[in-house]
Amino acid sequence: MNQKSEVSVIKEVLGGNADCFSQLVNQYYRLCLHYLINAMRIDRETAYDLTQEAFMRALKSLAGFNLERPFKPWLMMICRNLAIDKLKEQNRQTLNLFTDSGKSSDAIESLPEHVDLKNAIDKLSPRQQEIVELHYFADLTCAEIGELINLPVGTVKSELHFARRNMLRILEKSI
Amino acid sequence: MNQACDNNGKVLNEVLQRDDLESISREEAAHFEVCATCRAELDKARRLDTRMRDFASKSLESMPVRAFVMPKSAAKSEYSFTEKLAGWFSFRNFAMAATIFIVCAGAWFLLLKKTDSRLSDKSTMPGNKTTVVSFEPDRDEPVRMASGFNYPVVGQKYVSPDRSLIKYGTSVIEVEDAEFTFLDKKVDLLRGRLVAEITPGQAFAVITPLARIEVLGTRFSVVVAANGSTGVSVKRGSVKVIETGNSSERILTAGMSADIRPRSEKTAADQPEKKIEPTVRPMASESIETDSGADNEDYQEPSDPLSLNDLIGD
Repeated sequence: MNQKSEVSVIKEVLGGNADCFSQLVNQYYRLCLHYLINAMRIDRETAYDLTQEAFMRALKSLAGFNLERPFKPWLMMICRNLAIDKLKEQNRQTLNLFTDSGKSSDAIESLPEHVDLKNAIDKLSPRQQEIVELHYFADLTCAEIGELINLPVGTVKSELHFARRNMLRILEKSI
Repeated sequence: MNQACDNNGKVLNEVLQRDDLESISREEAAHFEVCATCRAELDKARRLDTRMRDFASKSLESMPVRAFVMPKSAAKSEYSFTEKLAGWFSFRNFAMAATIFIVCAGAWFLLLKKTDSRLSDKSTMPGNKTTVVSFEPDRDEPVRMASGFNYPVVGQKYVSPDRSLIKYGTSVIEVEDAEFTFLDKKVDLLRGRLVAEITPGQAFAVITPLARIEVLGTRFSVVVAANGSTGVSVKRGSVKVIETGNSSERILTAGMSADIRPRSEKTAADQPEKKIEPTVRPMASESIETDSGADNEDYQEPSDPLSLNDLIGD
């Protein structure tokens, strides 16, 4: 779904046809869930709840959404804020996102051909993991990522560069 | 890694920071043509990029999803103007408005009723003074009432030697050289002269030894002689005169007067054409003759006719 069709869908929803919102849900449900589990390290059950909550919030706040901007970063921002609130609620500081490199027990099982990639990502720093997640999985640009996680674009580019370098080093034999 | 690179891998680092590794300028492409090390690194990064995107798409596809529950409240996120208008005129809102109206109307009615009957428990007097009225038993000796405004106690017998004004709700009653008892919504006038200006709709009656004069909203005067003879004169509006001991009643309108005497004497007669005012001889022992109007030459109109506004202005 490109941005033009997204805008038309959002206009439909704002016009009273809430059923059209399911198109957006179908488009981004998996992405939100994957981001919450792999980048934000939310457990699977909570991630499902937060995904539901994120779409409900998006639906409620849709009237205030700027149609000239892409929908996906906005939705990811809602997911991220929900995840941070949840982590705070669980007495886990947001800072831990960038210091705790432990593997989430609820991480999605990867296909055999991608196990090495998954292992390489897990060895990155949490910040690099989140940037990689947002860049490759959510397909966001460095500028969008910087805006989302509140980092300068240069820092995001630099982090992405080091992430690539690290992964190349880890995957030297298989790449 | 970049030992063989002329610019120490600067171009490669620049490219690896980009969103899209495929987009490189001519100068950068020229460098990668000549620098095998950087070209090899770029190729690896591109392969990694391709694999990562493949991994991402397949990983997302394999994500188990759960049905999104659309909240009922969000079935329609925005209502049109007509829908909002229809919502406002819903039965619930109408019932709420009707309830509020009924409560307000009831409160207003009770307030009016209390105001109308407050003489039975409280009297609001000019100057915002409030006098608590107590129902004392009749005394043998009447209390003298001073000139000017007075705050009568309900049930108390009074004598007004001069002209006294009594405020009764929004109405004004003037008594002069009279002996009376102020009761709830009525005055028991034993003798003397009473002029009442009663607001229409306000219940008021004057009871004399021989008659009961019920007010229908008017200005009228009553004069009671020592023998009980009662003269009624209506200036405005109408009053109902009921003779005591006789069920007959008559309604006097503006300009009419009636004279009620003891049975041994001449009874009242209506004079609709000629306005006849009763004589204001204080405590005159003789009966008031109003039939011919001959006695009216002695009648003296009060020096300043009663005016509600004038009285309240005090």
